[in-house]
Amino acid sequence: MDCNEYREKFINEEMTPEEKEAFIKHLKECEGCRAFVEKYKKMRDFMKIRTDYLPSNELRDKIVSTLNRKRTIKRLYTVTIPTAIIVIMGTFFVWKPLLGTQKLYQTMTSVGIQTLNNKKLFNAATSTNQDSTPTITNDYTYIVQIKSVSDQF
Amino acid sequence: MNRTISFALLMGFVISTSVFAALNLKIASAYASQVVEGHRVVIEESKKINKIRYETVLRDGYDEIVKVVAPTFFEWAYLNGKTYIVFGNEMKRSPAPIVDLERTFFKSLSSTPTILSTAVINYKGEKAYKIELSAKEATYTGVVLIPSFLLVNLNVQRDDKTITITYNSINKVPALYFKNVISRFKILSTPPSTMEVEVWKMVYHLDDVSVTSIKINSLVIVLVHGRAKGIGDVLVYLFKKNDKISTKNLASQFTSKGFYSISAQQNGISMVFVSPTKEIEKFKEWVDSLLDRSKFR
Repeated sequence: MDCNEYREKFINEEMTPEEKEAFIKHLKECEGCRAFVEKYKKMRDFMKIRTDYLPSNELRDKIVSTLNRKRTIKRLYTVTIPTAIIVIMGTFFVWKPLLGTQKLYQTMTSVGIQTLNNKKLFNAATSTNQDSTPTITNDYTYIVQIKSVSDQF
Repeated sequence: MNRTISFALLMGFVISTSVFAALNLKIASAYASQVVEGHRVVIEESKKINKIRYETVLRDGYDEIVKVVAPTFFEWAYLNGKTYIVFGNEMKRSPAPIVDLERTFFKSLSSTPTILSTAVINYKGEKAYKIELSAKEATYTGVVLIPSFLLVNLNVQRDDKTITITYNSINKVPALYFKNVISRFKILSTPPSTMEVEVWKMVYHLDDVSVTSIKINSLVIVLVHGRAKGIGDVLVYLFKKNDKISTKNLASQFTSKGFYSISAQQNGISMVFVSPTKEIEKFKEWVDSLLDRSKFR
């Protein structure tokens, strides 16, 4: 048998008494197999400790709650927050223009009603640049002058 | 004997008519070649209202720059058959022609008008011709000084009003003077914008009209307010067609507040007509006629 066959049978505990005896002889001669057997035994002992140890209920609860919290935070970062951002931004982009347009209609209507009620054109005392606040430009006022100086009327 | 007298009278009439026709043509052609500067007062009298305005005129033939100095300052020009509005050092094409009755009078005189009378009179101590002619819509009476052929007074009688133009002073100026003044202006030959043309249509069809333009959220809206005959107060919204504002929605805002409103689109301009009128049918007809280009003079 070569080293690999010995090691495999050793791990799987499949050696016959004769093979065991032959393997012990082989270990005296083979440094690699000796190191392997030592490492294997250390690992097996460590695993034995892990599997034999039972944590208290308190500790188990703590571990479970920590794991749950980590899972919640992970879900928050990967799903909830992006979803919330998308929803908020969507609402902002969809509703803001609609609200703005509604306000625009209201402003336009109020300017008109003010004009019709006062029997003269709307004339704001102050002009600001805030949204939906009308600013007077009077770019077309001169057209009335054409009528007043033209002698066809 | 009687036949001789009749013939003499007829000959006299023919000769005098021919002489005056030739004279009228001479006066008209003199006007077309004059370069003058003057100050005139234009008075409009009607049953409803009397109006007066003071103007300074610089004229080269039919081309002229008219500066209205009162009641509201306004400057316009007529150059090569086109009307311009003066904005500082720029002249911009007007959305509508401006009629100067002086021009109409002399153009009528140079065509084949119905001359009612031509006489030599004394006008404020100066010798002048008084020419009365009948044209399509009015009767004109012009006073032209002798021998300068400068028009100093023009009275225009229409069915509804009388307009009188009186020059306080008028002087001939060097031939190049007008061209020198014109050369100082930047003349923009770009035709008026669609908005200007549409606003003019509204102004044309309304009395006691006023115009303002407002800017809301970068949207420019022109408001035209005035009175329409048989309807009363009318307010018109005009703005460039856009996705932000629906004319139907705007019209419905007014309808919900008890006003009558009509929405329309014309030449890329959105319009909403609003009125508190009870004469809804008349209002509809008025809007229809306004939107029908063929009915616009």
